[in-house]
Amino acid sequence: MTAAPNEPTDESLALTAAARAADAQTAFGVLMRRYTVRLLRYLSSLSVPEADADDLASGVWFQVWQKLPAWKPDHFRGWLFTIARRRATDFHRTPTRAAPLDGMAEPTAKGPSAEQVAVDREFADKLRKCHEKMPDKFRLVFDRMMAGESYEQIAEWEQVPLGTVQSRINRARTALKKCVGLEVSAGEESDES
Amino acid sequence: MNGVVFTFPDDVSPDALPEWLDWHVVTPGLGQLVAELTAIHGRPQRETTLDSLLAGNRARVLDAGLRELPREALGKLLKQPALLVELRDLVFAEGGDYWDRIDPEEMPPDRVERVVDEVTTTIAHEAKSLRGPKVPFYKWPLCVGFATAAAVLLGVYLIGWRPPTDKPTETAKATGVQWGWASADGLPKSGTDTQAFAHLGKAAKQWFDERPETPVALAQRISEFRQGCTALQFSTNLPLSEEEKTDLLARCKKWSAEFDVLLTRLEESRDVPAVRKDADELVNKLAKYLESREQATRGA
Repeated sequence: MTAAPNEPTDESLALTAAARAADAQTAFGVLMRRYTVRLLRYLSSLSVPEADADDLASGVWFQVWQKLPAWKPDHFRGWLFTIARRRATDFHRTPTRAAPLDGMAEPTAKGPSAEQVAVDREFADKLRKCHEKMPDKFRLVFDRMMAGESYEQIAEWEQVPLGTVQSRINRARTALKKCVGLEVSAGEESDES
Repeated sequence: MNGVVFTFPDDVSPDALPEWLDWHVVTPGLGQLVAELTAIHGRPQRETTLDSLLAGNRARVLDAGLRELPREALGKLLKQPALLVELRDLVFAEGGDYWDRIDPEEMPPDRVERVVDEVTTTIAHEAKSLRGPKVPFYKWPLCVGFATAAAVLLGVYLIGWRPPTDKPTETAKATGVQWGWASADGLPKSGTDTQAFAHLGKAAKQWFDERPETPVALAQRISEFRQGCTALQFSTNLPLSEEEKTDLLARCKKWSAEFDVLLTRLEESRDVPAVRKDADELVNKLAKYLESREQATRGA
């Protein structure tokens, strides 16, 4: 959700909150309601479990509140999500998980990234080895498909009929799935033969 | 979940692939997709940046997703999948409502309210705990004001100085500050927007007329500037258009908060050169703003 044209901008609300005037908490409340859904989705995309995401989101907002007086007016949303990313990285790095709201330390950006946390490395490695072992004529069309080329483009490039491209891609996919140990459906089996 | 690449859409419609990628960009498991695409394509021979890849399509992608990207650029994104991670951060920070609608799962409203309530309660608690009796005297703007007033009265008595005939502002009367916005003629009383900004800029730059060398002297100087911000906030007859006044007062609130932070830092560190340098920067920043408005309103 973003600010509608007739609503106060993020930056004007942030400035009001930063000034700690009488309406500071109201302005901050508007910002929280505007971005908490997106913030929770972002934390989820960073592999923060739902059970911890609410605490982490509260921690992000509280840190924003604390730092607002020293905030140099800029793109507020970018700043908010940078803080969220740092705290998610910190969350994955520390064994104690989410820090309490009070007395929190500045999170560091060291340690595994959120992307690294949820990756099945063993599988990725197996996939790489299986892919390398594939015969060229299958691997080349499969790679082109995985690079976003249309079947028509691939057929033109490989100088083969469209049906051949389709068949090679299906066979490559099925062979790879088998090689990495994934289940292959009956339809895929018949494609391969 | 592994095997994400095996869900790669068949060549059925031009939008199938960008929509599939959009979904992966904003949902968990992007790291796995990146790892699997890297396993297939290897490291790119020529790396590109997200900015150059999006180029002129940046705004459209942020607004409506990857379908706005030419197929060739989409291919580069798949061959250099680490860029998808950068794209994810970008769309959360700057993307439009389209990106919120991709994952159809509804967020329970009470979840949001719980987060808001927890933060609001903590902030209120913090504010309460800060209103204690432990605040040192020179963090009290009025206290510094009274101290300054006393010093000025003493000066008047000793050297026989007479105040100017102009009627001083209420704040100036209360604080006795002789420079900047808190002084008797620190705030403009009439004229155009351009003249008002010029007046305010000149008064602000009086900050540099003195270079305090001790923590107490610097605390007093900062506090006097801070009182000028208060004077500006309370001024009822600033000769500025409503739009300019609203913007200036919003900024003024921010500057006040920054002066408060500087005072607290000075109290804790007693590091006069460092805090004075930051105060100089803050004054330069606000003077620059006033100067820019002075120029912008000229001839308006």
